[in-house]
Amino acid sequence: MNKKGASIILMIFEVIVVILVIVLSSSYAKSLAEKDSTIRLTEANDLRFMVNALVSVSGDAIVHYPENTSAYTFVLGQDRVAVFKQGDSENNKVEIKFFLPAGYQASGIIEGKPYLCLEKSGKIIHLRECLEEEL
Amino acid sequence: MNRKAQFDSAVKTVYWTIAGFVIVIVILVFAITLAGYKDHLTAVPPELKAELTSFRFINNPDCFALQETNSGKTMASIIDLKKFNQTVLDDCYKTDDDVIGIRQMNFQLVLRNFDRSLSTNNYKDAYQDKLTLKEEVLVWSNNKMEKDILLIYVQDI
Repeated sequence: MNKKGASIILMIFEVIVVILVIVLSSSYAKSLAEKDSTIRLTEANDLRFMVNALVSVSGDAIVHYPENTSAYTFVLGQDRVAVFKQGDSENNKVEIKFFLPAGYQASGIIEGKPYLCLEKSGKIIHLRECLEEEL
Repeated sequence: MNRKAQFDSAVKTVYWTIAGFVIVIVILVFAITLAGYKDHLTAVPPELKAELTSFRFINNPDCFALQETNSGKTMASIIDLKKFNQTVLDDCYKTDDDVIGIRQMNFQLVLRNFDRSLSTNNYKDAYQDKLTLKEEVLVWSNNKMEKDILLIYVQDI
């Protein structure tokens, strides 16, 4: 093989390696971006903030969460919010704590519903599906 | 194989050893950067977190907000000095009495002009504050309203 031929083969090989690295990196980045643990964490954080915001309101209020929530199950407990998918292991469940003032109650489960609302009525915060007129 | 071919082969081996090493480093750096980016994506600005949690102190009548006795109307951003005590604060915001509680957001509230200060149960003087919020408030004391600044020192480990 002459020198020029060897150099072309080497260049093709280098291009293949570079393409391979780009494809591998992009697919890893895509899988990370689409990983729903990021979405779960964001939604659990948002709900925690909504609860804290409602506690700061003196009267009654309803907040509509402006995202489609049909992919997940949301559980609002007395001191935490959990976001998961049915059949998930404990490791995949995202739970975030919050602290309510004494005498306040928080509860509610919503599963596979697209519109999620948090309602504060007196000292009770309830997680439920939004009614049509609330959208 | 002549000497030139041997030399070319040695150069290629050295080249690909270095290139392979560099490619592995690039992939590792990329993976670490992406993992960091994911954390960055889900990160919440500490000011937002602290503000949303601490608004209850000045807006909720079960915390320090003034509530008219007759009408029951709550006056947001007006602090009732009679309520500004440790018992009310503990009822308003109390984290768990263990390590988990220490790792949550904790606050020290200081009414600057009145020189009054309260801390939540896990606020530790030994720890550094993450940030300080300043809220302009009115304070209802001895049947009169006075302007003040509520300093909220936030710890979030």
